[in-house]
Amino acid sequence: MIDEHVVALINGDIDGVLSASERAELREILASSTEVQEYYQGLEQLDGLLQDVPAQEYKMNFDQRFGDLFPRGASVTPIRKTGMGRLSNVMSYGLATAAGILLAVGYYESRKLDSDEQDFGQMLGTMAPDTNRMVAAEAFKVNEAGVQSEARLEERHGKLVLEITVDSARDTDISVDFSATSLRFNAMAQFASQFESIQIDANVIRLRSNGQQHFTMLLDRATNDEPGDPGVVRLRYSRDGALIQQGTLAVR
Amino acid sequence: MLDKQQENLLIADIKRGDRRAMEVLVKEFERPVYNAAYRMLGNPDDAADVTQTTFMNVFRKLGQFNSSYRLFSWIYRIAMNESIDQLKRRPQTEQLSPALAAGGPGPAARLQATQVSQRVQSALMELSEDYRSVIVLRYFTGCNYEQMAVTLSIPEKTVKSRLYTARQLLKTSLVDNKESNL
Repeated sequence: MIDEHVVALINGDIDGVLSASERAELREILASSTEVQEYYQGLEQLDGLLQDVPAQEYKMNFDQRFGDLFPRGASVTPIRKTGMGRLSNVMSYGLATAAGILLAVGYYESRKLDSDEQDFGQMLGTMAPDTNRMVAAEAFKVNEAGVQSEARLEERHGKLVLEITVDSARDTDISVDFSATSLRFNAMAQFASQFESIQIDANVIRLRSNGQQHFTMLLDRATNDEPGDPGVVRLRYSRDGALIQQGTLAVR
Repeated sequence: MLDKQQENLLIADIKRGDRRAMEVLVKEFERPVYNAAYRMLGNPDDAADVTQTTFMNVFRKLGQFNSSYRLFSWIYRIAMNESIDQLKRRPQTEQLSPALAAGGPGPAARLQATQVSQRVQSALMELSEDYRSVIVLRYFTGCNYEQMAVTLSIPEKTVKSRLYTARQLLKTSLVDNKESNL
């Protein structure tokens, strides 16, 4: 058993923080104890091993990751892009007809976590595009064998809306996680589709999809959020436990 | 690494809304933040997510940054907290992804480097978050004792204690265990 003081000296030497007198003390101890020598050599070997671990190369594409939040020439706040032009034709068409379809198909689920009031009117409002102030933030696409999907996180009428279309040949698990920020699930509407299963928690939704799905989620910002605080949603697509694709959407 | 004066100038530019300054900050810290997250999580995709969320929070909360501290400590703290949050959200059964192929002059060297990286990563994942954090900060961001203490909001004495114990545990699994010798 090596004394704590000696352990501290050895670690201090490895970290290069010993004074001259402490180094001299350590040298004396090393000269008189094989056990301490072996311990020192083991830690030295470990230190060399850890120092030699190659750094993982990583380069974030700023434009891709933050371009929508911080467009060129814009100030930090407000950080929004306006215009229907950013939406795909399919999505725009879907949005234009969404409210009508919703009425026919029905309201899937609506619940407020901070209030008992069922805000159906607000839910309907989020289905239709706000042509005067459409805010398109970020899109995320999955185009893999057996599953195609598009997700968009947008602010509509002052509310955050996550709209997802999925077309999968087999059961596909989708996790929608907004626990990284203060977003909370408010309500969800589904167009002409059914899930195999769905689990809704305050800040994580897990669902299993098979076939064609088109649904939206209305997310609430926390009341103590400052203007311009970003909403961040993590999406994860998997099948039989194996990851297909994952990504993050963010909007202010 | 940026000195204190450079940090202050960068922060002031970002607060003014200078997008270029934001890019500079990302370029300065993306690699250590990603590597710290990767070593905490053992998964490149999760590390990329944590890296993005870290910078998102940095931009979001820059107004709350106390300029008496160093910027890198604050950024690393956000990255470590994000990584730990990610670990807590992770299903217990989730498998670790294989390590990314490391760069190197040739296939043999690259294979060797990848093997080292993977063995170290496996040993790191066996450590508790407290011990893993100090090793990650010491070896993958280059923090000293004081910087680790500020980043983790713990006394320097605790940093040393955790670092010594973490090294002992890693020594046992990576050096003393002959079967796992690299």
